[in-house]
Amino acid sequence: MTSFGFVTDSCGGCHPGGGPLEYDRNGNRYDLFASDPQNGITSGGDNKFDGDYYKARWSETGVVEVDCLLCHSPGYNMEERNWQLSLLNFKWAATAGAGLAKIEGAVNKGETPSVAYQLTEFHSEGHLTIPIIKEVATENCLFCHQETDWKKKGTSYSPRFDVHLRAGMKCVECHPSGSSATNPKINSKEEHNFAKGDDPGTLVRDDLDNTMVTCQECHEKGLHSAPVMKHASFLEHEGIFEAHSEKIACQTCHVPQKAVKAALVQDSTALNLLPRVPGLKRIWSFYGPDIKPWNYYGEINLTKGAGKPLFLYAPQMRWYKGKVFPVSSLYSIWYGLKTEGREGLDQVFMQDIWKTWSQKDRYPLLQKIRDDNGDGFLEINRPEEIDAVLSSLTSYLKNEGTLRKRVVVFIDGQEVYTSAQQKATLEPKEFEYSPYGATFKLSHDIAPARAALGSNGCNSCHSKGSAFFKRPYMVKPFDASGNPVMTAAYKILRYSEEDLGNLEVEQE
Amino acid sequence: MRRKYAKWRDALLLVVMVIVVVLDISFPAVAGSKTGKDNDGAFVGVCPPFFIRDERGIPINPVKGENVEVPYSPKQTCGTTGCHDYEKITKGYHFQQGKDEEPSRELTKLYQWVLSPGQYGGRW
Repeated sequence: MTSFGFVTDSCGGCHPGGGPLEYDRNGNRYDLFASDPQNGITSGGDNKFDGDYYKARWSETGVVEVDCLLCHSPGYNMEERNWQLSLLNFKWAATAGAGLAKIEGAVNKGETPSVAYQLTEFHSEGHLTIPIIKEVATENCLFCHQETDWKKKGTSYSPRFDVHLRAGMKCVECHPSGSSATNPKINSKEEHNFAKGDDPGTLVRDDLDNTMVTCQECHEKGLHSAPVMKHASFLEHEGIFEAHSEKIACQTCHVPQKAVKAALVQDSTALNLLPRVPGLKRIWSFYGPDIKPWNYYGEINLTKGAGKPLFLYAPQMRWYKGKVFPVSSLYSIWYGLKTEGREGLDQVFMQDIWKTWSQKDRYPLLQKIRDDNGDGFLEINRPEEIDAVLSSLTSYLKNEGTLRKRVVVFIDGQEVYTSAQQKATLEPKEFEYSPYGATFKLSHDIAPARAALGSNGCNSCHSKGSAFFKRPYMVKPFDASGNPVMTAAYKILRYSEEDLGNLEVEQE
Repeated sequence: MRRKYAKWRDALLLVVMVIVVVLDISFPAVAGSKTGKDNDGAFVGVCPPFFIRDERGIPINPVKGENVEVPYSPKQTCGTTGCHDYEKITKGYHFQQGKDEEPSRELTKLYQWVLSPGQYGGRW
């Protein structure tokens, strides 16, 4: 992906502008650099395969500056802004999104867009009148987080399932920034680093982890009119709450149920032919928490963000930094490229996977791939299937002249196959399926005390055969027959049979 | 009856005004506006009336039809020629998305393609 493609290939649909949408890797503003004849940049040209200018048209499109009103104006029209980006009207997008003017014309048609300002948005002197707020409204945060936190975390952002949204709280009350923040790392005037948690799946600015307002800060002191926690069902056993809270995160009991699917498996090794899946995204087959095919892109396309389908399930739990958390942990299946003597893996381009599968006549071994479990998605699970895809993709890349000295590998969770008979095993951390599959902690969709685990006493979790410890967790999505391999939750949590005996202490 | 109360109200208002003038008591926002500055901005927290500006920093006035052929520039309007520190704001991770960071050793050992800890390029 190029810097220009970062704007046009859907990433710009959430990025608020500035940074990589404004400046190249040398710190030059794209449009000014591209317009300067001394730099020899041709609009739309190869430009010496420089990733910042390859086939880019910055001199015509302009750049995407930080769009302040995207966050700070209630009623901002994100759809209109993104429509303008799709027309390559980069520098016009902020004007259209804020509703200040109607933009006609499109750079991608070779036109220079015209601007017709809406006089209703200006005072009689010409000053701007639209509403601007310092504290960003939740709706504006959800322009981006509504969708991105769906596939990865299954976050509903619905007052029905989240006690904080039901109380009318805004995102920025727990995720403040600037002078509103209490943590000294982010507390300064105009600082726009928002207080954040500590998510194992997201690695940007990890130095700012745990700067957000914690559960305890509000529920011990009653800030934001929060109810002070009582944990009444623990009171009859002295010290038992403290013993739990040492090892168990608040979310573990207060996110007992999820209401929206998150992807449990992402398989990018065969094409899925489900309806409404856009372009190259057909190489991604998602499976939901029930390990059944999930047409995520189809649902987005069909619902247009009007509502996420209801799907109730209990989240998995994992240890992370000494505590048990509810998580969405992803099992990934994909093609990599290994180079002798070089650590790590490269990946096969999406278009190469697409083109290989689209030319099944040229790569007849692909005919061997079967849908063993009859769920509608092809899965690469039998030895002959692994060898068939590795051979086919290798042939394709050789034909294209792009394989070079690399070897195609098939990665199934923690296993890296060079052939069906030869594999290496990666060592995942205790919270992940594989070092290549992200795990996201779940900290939204918080249930109130009366709906939390333990609200009906110890037996919620500690009865014989309790679902908390015995619930089946997926180990691997497909065995040789295409069926999932499952195990009990306590094993994933690394408890022994003896530990389990001590944990199942059913109360009368 | 109503007229009697109005008389007392006017008298009370006059006394307050005299005290304010004599003792030079003024509200913080008013004090700030005398100098055109608002200390750290935390108290005011509201933008004064302003014109939008284009990329060159030139005001756009749709009511008077001045400079209306061009889109507005958030950078010039709010930042460069305005009141806010655009450079500082854009250092925030929502804007950089990891562009201003090096990937960790742990990441580079796994991924040959990553150039930052951001979610660029299909890291799952």
